[in-house]
Amino acid sequence: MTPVLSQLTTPAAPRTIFPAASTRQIRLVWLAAFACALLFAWHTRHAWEDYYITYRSSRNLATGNGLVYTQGERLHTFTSPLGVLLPALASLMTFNSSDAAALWLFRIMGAASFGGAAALIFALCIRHRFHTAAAILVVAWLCTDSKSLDFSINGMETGFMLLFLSYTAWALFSPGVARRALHVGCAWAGLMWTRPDSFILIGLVSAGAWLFNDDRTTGLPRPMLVRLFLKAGLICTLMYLPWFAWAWIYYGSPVPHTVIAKSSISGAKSLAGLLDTLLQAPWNTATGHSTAGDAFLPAYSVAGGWPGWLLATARVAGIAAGFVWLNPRLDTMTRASSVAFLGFQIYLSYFPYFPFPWYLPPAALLAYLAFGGALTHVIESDGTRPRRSLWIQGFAWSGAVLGLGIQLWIVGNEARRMRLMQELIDEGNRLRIGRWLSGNAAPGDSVFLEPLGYIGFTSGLKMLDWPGLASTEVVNARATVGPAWSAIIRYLKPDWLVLRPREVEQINKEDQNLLKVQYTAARDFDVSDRVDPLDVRGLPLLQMDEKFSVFRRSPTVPVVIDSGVLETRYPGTQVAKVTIGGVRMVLVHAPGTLTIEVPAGKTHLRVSFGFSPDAYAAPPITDGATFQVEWHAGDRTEVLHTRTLNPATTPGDRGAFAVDLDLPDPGGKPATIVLRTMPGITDNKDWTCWSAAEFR
Amino acid sequence: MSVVPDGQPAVAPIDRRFCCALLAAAFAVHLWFSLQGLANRPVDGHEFRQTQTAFAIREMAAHGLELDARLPVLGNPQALPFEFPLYQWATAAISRATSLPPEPLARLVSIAFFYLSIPFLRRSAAFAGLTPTQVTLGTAALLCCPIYLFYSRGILIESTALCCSAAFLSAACWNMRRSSPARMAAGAACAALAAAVKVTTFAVFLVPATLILLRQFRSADSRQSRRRLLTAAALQSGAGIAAGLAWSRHADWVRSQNPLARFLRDSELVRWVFGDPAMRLDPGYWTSIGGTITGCIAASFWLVVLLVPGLGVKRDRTMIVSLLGCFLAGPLVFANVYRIHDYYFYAVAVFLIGALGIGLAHLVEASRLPRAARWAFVAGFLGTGVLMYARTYHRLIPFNELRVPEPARQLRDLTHPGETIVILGQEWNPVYPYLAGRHALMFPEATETNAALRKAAVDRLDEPVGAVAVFAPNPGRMRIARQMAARLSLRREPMEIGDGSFAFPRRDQLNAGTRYGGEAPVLIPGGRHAIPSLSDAQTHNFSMMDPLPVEVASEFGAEAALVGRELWFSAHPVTELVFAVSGEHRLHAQFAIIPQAYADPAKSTDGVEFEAVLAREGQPDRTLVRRLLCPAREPGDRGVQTWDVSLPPDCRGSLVFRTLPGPAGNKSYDWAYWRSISIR
Repeated sequence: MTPVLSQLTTPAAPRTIFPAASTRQIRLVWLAAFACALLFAWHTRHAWEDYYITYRSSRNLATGNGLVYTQGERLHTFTSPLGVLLPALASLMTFNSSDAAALWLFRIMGAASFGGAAALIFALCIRHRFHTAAAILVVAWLCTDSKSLDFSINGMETGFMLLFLSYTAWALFSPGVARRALHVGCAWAGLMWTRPDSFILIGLVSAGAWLFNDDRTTGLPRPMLVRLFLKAGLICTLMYLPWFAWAWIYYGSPVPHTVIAKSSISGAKSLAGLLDTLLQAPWNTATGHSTAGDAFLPAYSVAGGWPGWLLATARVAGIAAGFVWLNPRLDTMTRASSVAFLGFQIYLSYFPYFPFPWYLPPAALLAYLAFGGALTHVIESDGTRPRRSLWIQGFAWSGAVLGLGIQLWIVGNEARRMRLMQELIDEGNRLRIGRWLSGNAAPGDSVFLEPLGYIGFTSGLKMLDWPGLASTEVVNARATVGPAWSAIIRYLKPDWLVLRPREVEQINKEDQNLLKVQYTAARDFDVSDRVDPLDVRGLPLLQMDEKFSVFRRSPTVPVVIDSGVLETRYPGTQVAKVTIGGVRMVLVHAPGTLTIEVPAGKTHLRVSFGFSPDAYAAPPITDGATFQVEWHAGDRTEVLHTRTLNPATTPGDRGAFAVDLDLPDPGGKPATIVLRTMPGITDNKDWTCWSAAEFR
Repeated sequence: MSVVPDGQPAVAPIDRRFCCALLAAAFAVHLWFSLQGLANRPVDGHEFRQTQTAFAIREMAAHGLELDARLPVLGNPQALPFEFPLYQWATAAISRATSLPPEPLARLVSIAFFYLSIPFLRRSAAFAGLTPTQVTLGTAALLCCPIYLFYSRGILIESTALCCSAAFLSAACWNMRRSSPARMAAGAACAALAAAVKVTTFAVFLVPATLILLRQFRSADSRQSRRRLLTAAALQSGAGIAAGLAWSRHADWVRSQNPLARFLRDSELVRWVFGDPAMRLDPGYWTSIGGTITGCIAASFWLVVLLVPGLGVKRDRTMIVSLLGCFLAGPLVFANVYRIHDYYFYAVAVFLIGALGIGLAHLVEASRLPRAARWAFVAGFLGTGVLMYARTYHRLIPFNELRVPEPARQLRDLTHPGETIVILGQEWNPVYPYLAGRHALMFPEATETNAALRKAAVDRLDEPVGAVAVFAPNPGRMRIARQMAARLSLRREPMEIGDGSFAFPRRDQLNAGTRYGGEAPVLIPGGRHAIPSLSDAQTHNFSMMDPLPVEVASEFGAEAALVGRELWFSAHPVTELVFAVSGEHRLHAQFAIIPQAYADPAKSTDGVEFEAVLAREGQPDRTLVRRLLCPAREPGDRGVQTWDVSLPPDCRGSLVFRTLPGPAGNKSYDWAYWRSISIR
């Protein structure tokens, strides 16, 4: 038996003072929770989208390409150090031969951690003199919490969060723990390795423990508690420092780029705003404007598809969990868990731009501890007051059992939904898109999209994702041209776009020409015919990603014509001939080029250019273009002439314009002339034309 | 904690001193905040109601005190009484006696009535059984409550009504303890006054009076005592109810004398006041009420933290529940007005604050927390009340002059004192005529198409008509306005007077008006548009630019709007204006964020970035000039800013004028404008 397990089961103080769970009970609880998690994994085979964002870095690490998302770009594209290192280890364990096997290994690690969390919580509850049934209920609530189960096995770091949070609670609140500072320090370090923003949770739990400390049960007066925190903090710092220092050296910053990308779209934060969130926490929870209710709801319940009674029940539970601490008769752990739950919800409601579901299981765990303590308080007499009436006890039991029933109902529905999500959306759509891109895009092509995980991993391409988790370019572009996707696409000019229908609609609303002119619809990936008829709770989450359209940046196609080699993005208009001002010209739709070899010994060029009159005769009309004559020889390039014409607004720019140019000496090398047309802001009707070149 | 035998917790002397110090501090805070913006025009929240009251005061100050207050917005007859004008009388009388301006005086009188109500409330609370600590902390909470910080300084009858009703309750308690004919008469007078001044406040105060009566009745030791209690209650309540009904009938009859005011008859207003019975069962209604409570009275955190533990204490439970019942009586009975107007809570919030006072006292007296922590909690509660006020209502006080709507200024300039303005499209909203300093003949929507009614109303006027003003113009309303203008020999062509409204002034005002007097520019929908593809009316939007841009792109739609007397181009981020440039140029641009975008710090812009970028194909964009304006924070960023920049030589390509949201990416209230752009 390990020292920790030994402490879990054998009280350091006499058994009469601190009851303890038996080794068998602890193992049973671990096994039960582990089995629940694996059962969920086996049934759903769920791999969360974000796992593949991290796993691309893990895989690069395992294959010796560094801990980077895109080879050669040292960008900190993951949040959880453990969440990236353990999958790398799992990949290595498969000799980098099977991503599926690596995922299953990581799932087993997550499930084992989830089991460890359950075992620690059970031991803590027993040690805290919870009613045995209440302790079992706390574990049962945890094991039937759909988000905790799902995000412990779907590739996210949640299982480890729960494990280290439970370890923190156990180390902090269990009476009679030996070497408490070491345990607390290790638990905190585990939390920090799991998510670097865990210091929020650490601070909240510690503040609660200090605020409601009762040294009769903890055996630690407040000053000693402060000393304990200082020692534990030092241990935690020493254990986390290596990662912190390495990340700083390797990436140039210890702050994950994911945090920078997300925080840049979450708006400005202020102390007053945080205070407002605290002051209105109960009301915001009651009206669904806080995450407190979400802790008990299925993932992305905000998308819809769940009954109103469930939302209302969750909000009531959220308020109750956040204010259990108001009862001064409750024990330190119960009140501290409650106040930490409240504080964590305020943090989640205010700071992140969206409270992603994998942030919430730690809050749920704290709530279950608070509920368990409150239940024990109601059903058991502590010797200072008479036992509650049977009505109240009955009410409390009913609420607890009803809560468990609702959790079971949710987890049943979630198991089905996530299985369908994996089958239809993740594998049916995203994975296919990634593979299709892998087969159709050129290496080095860039892709703009929001769902980065599967597509980014399977395509292996340069990802320009929204909000820029794996891309500094998008974060910078947003700062430069604003948050509109159309502006960002226009600015970054990605080679591919992967868009949902509503995103296409929004881009067309912002800029009606962008997708029509600069991109070509390449392929639709649509499983709506399979998703829409489904009778499943929370269907809107699936419907959000049931259809994607892939757009490709319109290519320029070189075509040999009489007067040279024509390259333009508009093949339909290639060799059109136009007469402008009596001069016969060829249409070189902007942006486009006409490349001509300079005959040997020629030193002068005469060429004409201009707009086709139809370009500005009727709406839509051109907004002008620039004509440029370039001379190239070897590595020498000279711009011989540039002229911008806007015939729609300037009548003087209509007609044909001829230029006579002296050509530089090529020094014996073959020379070419490139007649280039460049669009204005749009290339609407940029029917720009060049005449045949005359050399002298 | 030690508890004395009768169940009352003993209060340490130091805690009593803390209580008194907190009360004094709360009073100082209230006074300090109340005196801010004393000279404000009544456009700092609930302008309709404030200007309605201020109009009556101004008329009384000019013509002498009248029983039937005038509201000269529906022509003649001008008397449109609603409440018994005690507040208006008090203010007008002082104004006439001292020649002080009525508006600041009205605010001072309102504040005085609020302070006068406090002793009555304290006396009633003590009689109801609240301990001195509870009463003191409750009073401090009252003084720091946002709704009492703000509306006590409003030109509103709310504090007068509260004072009268609190006096009634106090007198009722007094008579329950020991009555005499003189005291009964005083109580009846208070009740009558309270009911006449504001019956909705009086009705709510009948609830605590009844609850106290029931308690006294139950504890009375003889039939004679019970009879005495019932007699006193019947006399006082009866006097109040009778006075309320009598005044209501009278005011109703006076209003009915004006044919345009038929919709203001009591029978028409019942639904407006009480709402639909089903409203009380609608979760949306309670969400709205809850929002007002948690936003204007006390934060929900404190409601939970102070009331829940109090409900757990048997001694306090009944009192808290009773006070909550009194508090909810208002929104339960007068559902619609409580939903629409937050100032109605001024009448009932005292009860909720009483309950919170009990919670505070419980915290001070019974909590196991260290003394410093307990008082920190109490100070935190009071402080957050003030903070809530500072972050909400208080933000309506600064920049008061900017809140005066532009049409009111224009109407004042276009007409002479002693002239009446005919107004369409504003129902009977007194804001514009009051701020223009003119009487008005306003036609509510239901009456404006009735030609006979219009003609009769105009014929009844005893003042010449200076202008016809049209708000929310539509073809029908404009046609009516043109007809009236023709009949009244006013100018035939309308001129824009701001906020999308028009006026037909006298013919001698031909040279007045705005720089832009032609066809109104037409909104260009959101998205990217080439300018040549726009209609002429849409191209009007760029009349302040030379040359015209070649392209415009905006998220919310692009249009020019009247700012002062000039047409400016609205550039709510993200907006782009693209100009084609070629050769040597110099750019001159003026831009600004209009003051309305930062006048209310609660609803203000966090900054807008203006930039001019040179875009050339095949080359990286080059930012020529960029400026982040944060006028809410930086006074130097207010007003019109100017760029005068030489462009790089041989500058070819596109010059993009772009507005972007501030660093936080928040576009709320980013009311950015280009005043002019010229590229030469």
